[in-house]
Amino acid sequence: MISKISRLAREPLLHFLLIGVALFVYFDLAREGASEAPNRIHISNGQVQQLAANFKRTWSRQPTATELDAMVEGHVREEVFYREALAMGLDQNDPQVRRRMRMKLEFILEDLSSQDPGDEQLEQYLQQNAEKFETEAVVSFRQVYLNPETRPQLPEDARQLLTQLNSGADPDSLGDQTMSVRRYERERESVIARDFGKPFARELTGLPEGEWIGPVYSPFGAHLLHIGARVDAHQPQLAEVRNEVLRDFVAEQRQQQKDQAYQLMREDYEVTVEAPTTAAQ
Amino acid sequence: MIHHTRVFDTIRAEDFFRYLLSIVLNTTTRLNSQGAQVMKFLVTALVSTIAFTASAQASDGGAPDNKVLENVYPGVTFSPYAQRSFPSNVFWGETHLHTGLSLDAGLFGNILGPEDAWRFARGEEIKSSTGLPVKLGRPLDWMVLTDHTDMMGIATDIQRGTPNILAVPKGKEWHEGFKKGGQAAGAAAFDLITNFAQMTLPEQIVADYGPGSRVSTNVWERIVDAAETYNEPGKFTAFIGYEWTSVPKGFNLHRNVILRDGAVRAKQIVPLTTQPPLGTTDPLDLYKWLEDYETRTRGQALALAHNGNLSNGWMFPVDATYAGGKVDKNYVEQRARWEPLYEVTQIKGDGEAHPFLSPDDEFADYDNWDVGNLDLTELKTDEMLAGEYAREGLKRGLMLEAKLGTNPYKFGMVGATDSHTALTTAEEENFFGKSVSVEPSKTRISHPFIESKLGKIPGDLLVASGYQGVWASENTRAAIFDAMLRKETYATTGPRIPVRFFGGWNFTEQDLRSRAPAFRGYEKGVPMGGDMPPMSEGKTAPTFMVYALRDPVGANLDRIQIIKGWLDADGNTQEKVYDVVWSDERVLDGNDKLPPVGNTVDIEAATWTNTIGSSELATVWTDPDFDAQQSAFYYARVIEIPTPRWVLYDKLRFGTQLPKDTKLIHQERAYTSPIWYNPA
Repeated sequence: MISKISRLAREPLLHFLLIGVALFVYFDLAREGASEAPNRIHISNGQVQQLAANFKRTWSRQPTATELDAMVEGHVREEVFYREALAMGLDQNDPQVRRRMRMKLEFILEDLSSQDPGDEQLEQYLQQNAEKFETEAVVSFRQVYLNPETRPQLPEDARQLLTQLNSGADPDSLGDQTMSVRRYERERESVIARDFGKPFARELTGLPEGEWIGPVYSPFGAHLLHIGARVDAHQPQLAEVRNEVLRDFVAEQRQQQKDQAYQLMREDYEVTVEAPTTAAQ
Repeated sequence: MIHHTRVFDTIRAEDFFRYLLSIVLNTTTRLNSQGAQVMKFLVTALVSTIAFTASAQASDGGAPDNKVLENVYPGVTFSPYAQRSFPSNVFWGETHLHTGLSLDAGLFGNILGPEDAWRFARGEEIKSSTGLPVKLGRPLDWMVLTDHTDMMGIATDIQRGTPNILAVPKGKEWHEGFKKGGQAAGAAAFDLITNFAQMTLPEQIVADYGPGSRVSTNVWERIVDAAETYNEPGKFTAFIGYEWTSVPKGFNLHRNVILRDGAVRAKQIVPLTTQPPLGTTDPLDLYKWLEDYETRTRGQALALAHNGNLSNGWMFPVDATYAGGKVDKNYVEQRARWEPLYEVTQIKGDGEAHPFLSPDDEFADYDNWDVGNLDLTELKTDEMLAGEYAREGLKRGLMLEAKLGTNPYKFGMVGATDSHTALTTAEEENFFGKSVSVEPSKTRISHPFIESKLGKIPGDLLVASGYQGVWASENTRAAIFDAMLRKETYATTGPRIPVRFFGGWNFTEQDLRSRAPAFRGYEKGVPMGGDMPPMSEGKTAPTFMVYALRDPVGANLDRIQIIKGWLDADGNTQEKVYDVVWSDERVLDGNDKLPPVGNTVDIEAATWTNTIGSSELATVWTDPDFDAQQSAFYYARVIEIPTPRWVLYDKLRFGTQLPKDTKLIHQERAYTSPIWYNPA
């Protein structure tokens, strides 16, 4: 018997029922109390100051007495409409209200969950996401452009030009006219990809340094290239990318914690879904 | 009435209690320690958030970095590109995007926040509000998020110590605790949460942050913080901004506001709203707000308008403003000062030119929306059009300058999406629509986008447009903002077409053939957005050097045009479109007209080939009709060869049935900012 009672005492359902009873009692009392309260709107001194402060943040000065009166009246008007609308149940089944409520709770959860982790955690996150934080390859190169539309013998022309270039000919005096940039200094691979397309940028990273080679093709035509200094992509130290790692870590944490909070809340619901009735064609 | 009050009080108490209950249930009825951990976590998290925010702010002092200093001291070097102070890069971005923070976007079901929007613009894959994985083909270089803002909240107020918080002893205690940081902040946070959970919050605080705003976060701070987090000088620029949504009578007169500055300045203010008594719909008040911002923070800001095409004639007034004011000296000066740019193309229609205003321009009918105002409560009439389209605005500007001494419509060109999905998609084959309701689906085209008793905008009329190219020396807030101020920007309907446009008196073919034409451009003239220098001795007409490359992953180019607008001897505005360079060695026909470039679009496969058109177009053009006594502007329009519109990709991927008259192909384009000539 005693064990039964103690088991019962540990039963979450009982807790729930007790809390439910307590709530009933509370609301009943609250309702009693409310019936004595007059239908009044009290604008506290603090609220007036708050309105004035809002004004000041918008307009960079204190409101005049007239402006402040107008704002107080605006506030009262909003309050009256708000209360009346609530009393009519206009907040019910309103998709905008529902989304707003969801968003607000999500904000609270996100704000509460953003934390500053220590370097140890960030270091670990950096290792786990090495590719994401890789420092991009940087390359310098010069190009001589060959226009396929005007050069039917392009491969042959290219061979000849390469010989000249590798014997020290001035690249600026060779090749065809182009508006694309002829010389890149220590430029990130992604920038080169932006200007010439990804395949071109990828090909560039595999080319030998210090000699004229090609042709390499881009959407604009053919290019003879001279690769200068290059720094390959590499793994940065945490100190170099701490801000980025922290940002992404926190973003991921927020999402996870929001999901966890949702799961916790959802466990408190019994969700039933009716099987969809098959549409009659 | 008394009954109403009772219901209200009960609802409030119930709501409050239900929320607390969820916390209490999570913390106490779970026999394992999970709940307790959650609680502990919440408290420590709150505290560290506050401490962290404070330290982030402290580092935003704005000391000049080495990069900036380098540019100040140019010298002779081996590389002709190093240490040049003029802009050598075009950076792609957009100035107009909404997230779920904007009420209207939220109403359409947008559940994404600023963080999602930033990550997406920077090239990361995210999930759209409708659950579709989505990623940009290429990341953007910079962006401005322009949400509407309104919520204020207790958490940030406590940190800031607003008067109403400090007026309550408990509030003051918490504020001081948070200010101290560390253990004290932890204790304060715990005390706050306990009081919250026990329903023992001071009555006053409950009242101040009643059901409407209780513990809500200040949206503006959130926007500012998100921009700070994703701003990475040199790699990606995240601007702080907002949209001032002035829409009297449903006439679209919105302005986007962009700040040059970081959090320290941005957090000193809150954005201007439009609801009286605090807000206003009069642009003169917006200018005042901008001036106050600059005076107070010593920061910099600008505004730009959009969708004149839905303003029913009110965007570019010549006599009276919609707010009941006059287009007088003050108005034109203020507008010229604060609005250096105008958004000329976006999802809700392209606003460069209209066939009614430019009957001789065969490309003037690009995706115009000319049915009515924003909510179609008033239909369009022909008389309204002149007050709505950018080219006509530029012309009216010349007229007003002659009359009042200042050109109020001397603006640079901006392309943006105005997407409400938090997804900045302007590419035809990756178009996520205007709002969540028209994210990709088989049926999105069949629903009218706007419909009223008077008319409708069918779903297939949405425009997958646009982006903005900015010529800047580096990818930072300062460099890009300054480029916007000098109007060295241009709009495209989506493709990333590099375009250069210079005006001067002495440009020659030789300059174009030089190894770096841009150097000659800056040396001998002015770039797009500038004013022609004084006329050179012995010269009779301005010369313009213009060149464009195709988008590296896009379509070839059909032609470059220069559009001239001027004020004739009688004070009337005129315009003319010149084809200045084109592909495929076409010859002008008997009427001096350039034959069409052709069409390679395969409708079934939604593809095209670059077998027509050119990958590069360039020329130096001299105005053949120049009159030195007449003020004028010139801008370039670069036209691509025909490509599929987004609707064809929907057809291909979903099997969507397209309405009969749907436009399937189009010629995308870039509009440069003008160069102005003024007879001194």
